[in-house]
Amino acid sequence: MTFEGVDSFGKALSPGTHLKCKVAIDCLEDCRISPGLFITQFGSFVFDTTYGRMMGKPLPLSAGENVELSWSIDLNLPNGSYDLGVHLEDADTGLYHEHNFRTVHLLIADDFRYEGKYVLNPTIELSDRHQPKNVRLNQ
Amino acid sequence: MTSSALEFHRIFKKFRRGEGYDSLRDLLPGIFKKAFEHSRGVGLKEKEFWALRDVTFQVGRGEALGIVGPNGSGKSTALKILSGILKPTSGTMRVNGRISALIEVGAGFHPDLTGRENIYLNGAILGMSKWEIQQKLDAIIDFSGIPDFIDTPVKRYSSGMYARLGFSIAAHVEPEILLVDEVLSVGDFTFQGRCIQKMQEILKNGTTVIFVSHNMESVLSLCDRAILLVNGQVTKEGEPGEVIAEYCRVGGIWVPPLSDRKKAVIKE
Repeated sequence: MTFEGVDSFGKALSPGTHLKCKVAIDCLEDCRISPGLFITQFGSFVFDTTYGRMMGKPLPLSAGENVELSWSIDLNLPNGSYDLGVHLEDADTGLYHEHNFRTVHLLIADDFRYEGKYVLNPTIELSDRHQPKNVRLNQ
Repeated sequence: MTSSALEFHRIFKKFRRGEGYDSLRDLLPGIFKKAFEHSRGVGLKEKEFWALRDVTFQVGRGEALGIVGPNGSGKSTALKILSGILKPTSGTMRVNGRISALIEVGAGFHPDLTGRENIYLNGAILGMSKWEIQQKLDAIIDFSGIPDFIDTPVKRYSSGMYARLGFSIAAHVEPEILLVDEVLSVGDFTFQGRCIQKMQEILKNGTTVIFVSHNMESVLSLCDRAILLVNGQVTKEGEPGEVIAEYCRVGGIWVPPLSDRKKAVIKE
């Protein structure tokens, strides 16, 4: 995973910081997945979304295919310590191929202008899709 | 096993509930009663209970072992035995290397001494020589983040400042074995972040770490291996993910159902 919009996760981030999380996925076998992004605080979920929920359909992948998903969120969160995690959920079985509770640790600083609301404005973008030759996606 | 930094072999530890005498009238019969009891036996008497029962584990050099379990399962007792604060009722323990314990942040501070004086006092308690403390003094003050208050008596510190200075001293001991008990849950969020970063640095330097925490994500990211303690007994030992899954199962906590066959993976 790669991140844009943040210089260092070791420093406290201002509320409202725009964070772009790029997740590169390798498909090993034909499958339909719903990648997800979530934020927890002390083990409790404060934000959770998936590709399937936002796009209204799962992401079909073919064996050998590589895709890159870009999640964009505004970190409008109360000051505190958070963990950002990602997962790859199988849309057919509901089981997870990947589930990482802590991809990065987020420290959100206090800011008197912040009203205390959880507003993350998530957007998702599918980019950089490389299909293996002789494979046709069933969309 | 010669490469072990720590060995805990068949350790039992029992405690007694409600011990204490309020008056001479209670004390004298208590002394006579104790004189006729076998105080070091492995059986349980009235009001006694096992904090640890037949606990055995080894930790290799440079390994990070996580200890998880519900409250009262014996995690802190195990660390206190390892650090020499408590003696086991029975069993043997072997430690190869200098131990530094972050069991209670700021323990051993004298309230009337300044932060700087307490660095010398606490550093000496944790096993550093005066020369070593002098060499690391600036780094300790810098990491603590309270240089403006370092010549103020610590009794005037806030609890957060107290915790920052305590962690900073213990983190600069450069021990061969580091015992950490829930230290990441102390202090404000900035301090927690600094603790996590420092812990990761310590691990990279090859220090053996025993880490007790209720924060499963920290255990998962920091530890190579974990044990689950329930009612003073080791009920599971292995990969942190497996042990945490078992802990969650025992405690009724949700764990993600993972597929046996990975069809897609996230690139590192």
